Amino acid sequence: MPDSRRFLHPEAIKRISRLELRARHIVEGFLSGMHRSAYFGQSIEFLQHREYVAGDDLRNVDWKVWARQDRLYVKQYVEDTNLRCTMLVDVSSSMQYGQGALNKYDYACTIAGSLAYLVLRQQDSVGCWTFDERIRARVPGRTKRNHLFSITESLAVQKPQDKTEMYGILRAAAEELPRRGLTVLISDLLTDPEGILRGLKLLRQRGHDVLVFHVMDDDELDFPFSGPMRFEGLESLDHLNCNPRALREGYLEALGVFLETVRRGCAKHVVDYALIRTSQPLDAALAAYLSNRLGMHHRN
Amino acid sequence: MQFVHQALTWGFLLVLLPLLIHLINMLRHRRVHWAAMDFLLQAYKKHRRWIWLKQLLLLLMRVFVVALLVAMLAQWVTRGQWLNLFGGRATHHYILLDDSFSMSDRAGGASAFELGLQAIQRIGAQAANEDTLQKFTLIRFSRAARLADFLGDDAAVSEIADFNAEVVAPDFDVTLEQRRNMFEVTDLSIGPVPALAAVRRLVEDSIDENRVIYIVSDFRVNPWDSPMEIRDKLRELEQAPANIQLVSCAATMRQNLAITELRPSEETQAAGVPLLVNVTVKNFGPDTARNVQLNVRTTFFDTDAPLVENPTQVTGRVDEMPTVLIEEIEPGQSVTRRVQAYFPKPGRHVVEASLPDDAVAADNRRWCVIDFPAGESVLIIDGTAEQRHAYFLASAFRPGGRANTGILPEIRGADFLRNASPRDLHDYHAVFLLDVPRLDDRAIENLELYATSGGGVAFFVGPEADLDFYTQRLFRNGTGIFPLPVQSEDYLPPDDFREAPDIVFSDHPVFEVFAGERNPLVRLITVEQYVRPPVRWQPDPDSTVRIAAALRNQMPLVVERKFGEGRIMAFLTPIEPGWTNWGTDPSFVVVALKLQSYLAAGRRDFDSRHVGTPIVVSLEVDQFRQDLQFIAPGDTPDSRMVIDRSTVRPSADSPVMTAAIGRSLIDGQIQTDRRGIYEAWPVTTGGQADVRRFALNVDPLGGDLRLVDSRDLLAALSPVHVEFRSAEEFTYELAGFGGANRSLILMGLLLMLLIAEQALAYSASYHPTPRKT
Repeated sequence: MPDSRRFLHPEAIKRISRLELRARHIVEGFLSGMHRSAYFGQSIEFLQHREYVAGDDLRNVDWKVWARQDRLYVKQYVEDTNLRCTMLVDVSSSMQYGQGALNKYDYACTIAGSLAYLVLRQQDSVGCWTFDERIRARVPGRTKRNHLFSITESLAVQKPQDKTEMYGILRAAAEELPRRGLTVLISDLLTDPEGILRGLKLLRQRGHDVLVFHVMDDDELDFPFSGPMRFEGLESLDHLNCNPRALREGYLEALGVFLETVRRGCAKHVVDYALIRTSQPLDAALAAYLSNRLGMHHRN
Repeated sequence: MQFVHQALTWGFLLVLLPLLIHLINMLRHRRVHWAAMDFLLQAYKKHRRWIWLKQLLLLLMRVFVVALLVAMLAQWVTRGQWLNLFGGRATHHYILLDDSFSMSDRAGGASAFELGLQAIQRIGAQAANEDTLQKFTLIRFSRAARLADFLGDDAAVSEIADFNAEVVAPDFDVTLEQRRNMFEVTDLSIGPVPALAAVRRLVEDSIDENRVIYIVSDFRVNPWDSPMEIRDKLRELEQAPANIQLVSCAATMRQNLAITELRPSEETQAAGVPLLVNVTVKNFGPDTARNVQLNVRTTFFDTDAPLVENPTQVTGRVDEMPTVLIEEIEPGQSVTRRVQAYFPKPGRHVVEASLPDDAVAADNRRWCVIDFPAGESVLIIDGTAEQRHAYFLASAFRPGGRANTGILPEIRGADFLRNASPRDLHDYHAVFLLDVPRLDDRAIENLELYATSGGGVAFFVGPEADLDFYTQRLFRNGTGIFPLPVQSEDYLPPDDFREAPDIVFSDHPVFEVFAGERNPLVRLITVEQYVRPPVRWQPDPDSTVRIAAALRNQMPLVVERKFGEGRIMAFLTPIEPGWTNWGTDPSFVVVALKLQSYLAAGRRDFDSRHVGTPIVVSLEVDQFRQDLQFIAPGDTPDSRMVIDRSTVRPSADSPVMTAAIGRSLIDGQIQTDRRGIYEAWPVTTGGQADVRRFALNVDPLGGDLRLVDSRDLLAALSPVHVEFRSAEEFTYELAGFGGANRSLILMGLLLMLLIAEQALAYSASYHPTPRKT
């Protein structure tokens, strides 16, 4: 693990209480660990010179400077985008589950804040919706740097409650977001998978790029329980007294079917899908985002 | 269902523990608010039955694990057959104990027999510690030998077994300790074959058991040196199948001298006539024995002594004879010494010889009973009317004065043989026919019957003899009593220079007075005329005919043969001077006495018996009372045992009745299994005791302490697989005998259950694996 990544681990992030600071910390830490010239030079607006280092593309070498000063410099350009990113963050009751450093909701908020900071840093527009079975709050898209505060403030005031109703939310997003852009769904997707996929399909049909961050807790993915337990539903009144060791196999089987359904559905509708454990370092989400961005360029 | 540690059976209550834990766990739920409830409910609906079944199985397994653990600790000793299906068969220990007298060999404070008993005690103790069913059978060699002898092939072996398939209880070693104190070394010398045959019958009757057969013996050369019959018996047992263990109780060969023979020499036995008794001592040890002191004593029983109420009070008069010193006996060699016994009155007297104590005491003493009559009757038939020949013979037998030869000659004519009954002739120790011309058929029949039954006959052929008759009727081509055909009278040409004696004697007991090449007595005898056989006659090498003396012209003079049990000697010249001067020569007296002793040997019933031989007394019905007493020897004369017996008539019209001891087991003992002098006390109808005495001695071969080499023995017993071990080092190893163990079975089941429980629990539980980051 690069040194910078240890600051992205949930245990480390947890110590930063303010979401805004948390987002800055994550994004800066993330970028410092990346190859320096991977995401520059896609527009014609010159930004700066930088001394050549081994590995830089020779096409970017400024030969005129070399002719004058006998030194190798590469030219760097400002990314020229007009990305409109809208984040849909699940704040249903199921998101408050979590036994680790961050529960699913905290993790989702951290991802949302980090992405917002990253987008704003690229001088793109970013907005944020929170929802459960209905839309709880809307923060419209802006490009201002201080817009980050609005987003994180919106996330911080929410508390997980009620059930999830995914299709209605996605349909609303498809209808209300007039321009094509990137829609990032951050949720545990614990609802009807058919509705999810129908909603994602709708978004894709409206021309949106869709990125799904499927946030799950380790417990939900591994079901490591033992001893007699009583499971009580977070979004329902169901409960079950059982020996979890005996049920684990069946549970994982059912979960596997669900995950496979979602994964295949996303692939079918050309939706980027990333299953993220709350115990993973947060750069996984950012890497997935940037991978999506590159994919957009390729698709464009 | 039995347990060695009954107190631990309370532990079975612990089977409730898993149930209680399960119930408590059901009440102790941990509450979790769970998001992915749908998957959980979905799994529960799908696997509900299987989950319940798994939990039930797990619970039952845990209950069984606790139960098995408790049963194992409490040492379950269930005897049920059903457990045998799992290999828990009984182990049956068959122990064959050698109680021959060679087992009394004592080295380092303990005899071989005691070492064997200690090994058996260890076997019993270790068997008692086993928690599988153990059975124990013990048979002594001496008693097994009696099985076929006295009880018959159909008799149950249980009648002679000291332990017969007894179940080994935890306190079995105490029982064994108590009972083994009754076991003693016998005076017998018996090999293992009877015991192996007995155990073979037991094995045939027993099924479904692991068999271990121990032969506890000293493994001497006799009988283990050539164990063909033993090997065959062991082979049968191995195929039964059985594990065979040879437990050796003797490690070293020690010095042992034995009196192997004590018998009177072949001389006239008569009251008042000294008798030479031969005592043979053999050195069975590894080293040369020097300055061996041989003690001999005689016991004289006065038949004129008044009859006593208690026969055990009659102990006789003991005369100690001077100690005989044998300077040296090489290992494996025998030395014979002669001692002179003298008994003034007739009767059945005893001669006893003894050696100093050594490794084995039983063969250091030996007895013989000698029946001394008033004299030995001799019948002399003289063919001459004047009885010219009989004079010389009778003079030799009854010289007169104070000289007593013990011979009672009776001179008769040839017609006596015709008229005498076989019983009349039987009373004579020997018959002499002196120049008898011929005999009629009745006389020949009587004479041949007499000789066949052991009587000795001497012919002196002279001028009166009808040679054709002798050849045709008495020789009868070798089937008759006369040893050779005779053809004619002949003259021996005189030897004027006297270079060679007229008679050349062979090495024969009758002519031992002439022994030695330059014996001057021989030259005093002259023979002028004789009867010769056909020219080409030679004794048949396959017959008993041999020439005891010949003339210097190579013609036979004295020819001998065996006829039935009797000894026949034919002198081809008469006694009366005329043909020879031998009758007037002093050497003739010696030869006549020797001849009588030699011929009468068949009439002297020397009773040589080994220990364990039955003693049978036959009595005339009209002369004896029906009841009689036997007296068996004891450690001391006072401890002799009186055995009352009634005679039995073989058939209603039988003129004799019999009584016996030693033909059956009395209280597990054979009444003749102790060495020494036995007496039978029949009483005549007139109230007179007619005491018969019998000497029972140990088998001298039993004193041969040479040990068989274990490797040679194993090779000789091949292909039978046996293990040879020393009794001192012997310990019973259950694992080596394939015996299954209840605890082992329980432990195996427990392990299997634990593994199954773990597997089931594993399948029903979560085991996180480290995830790669």
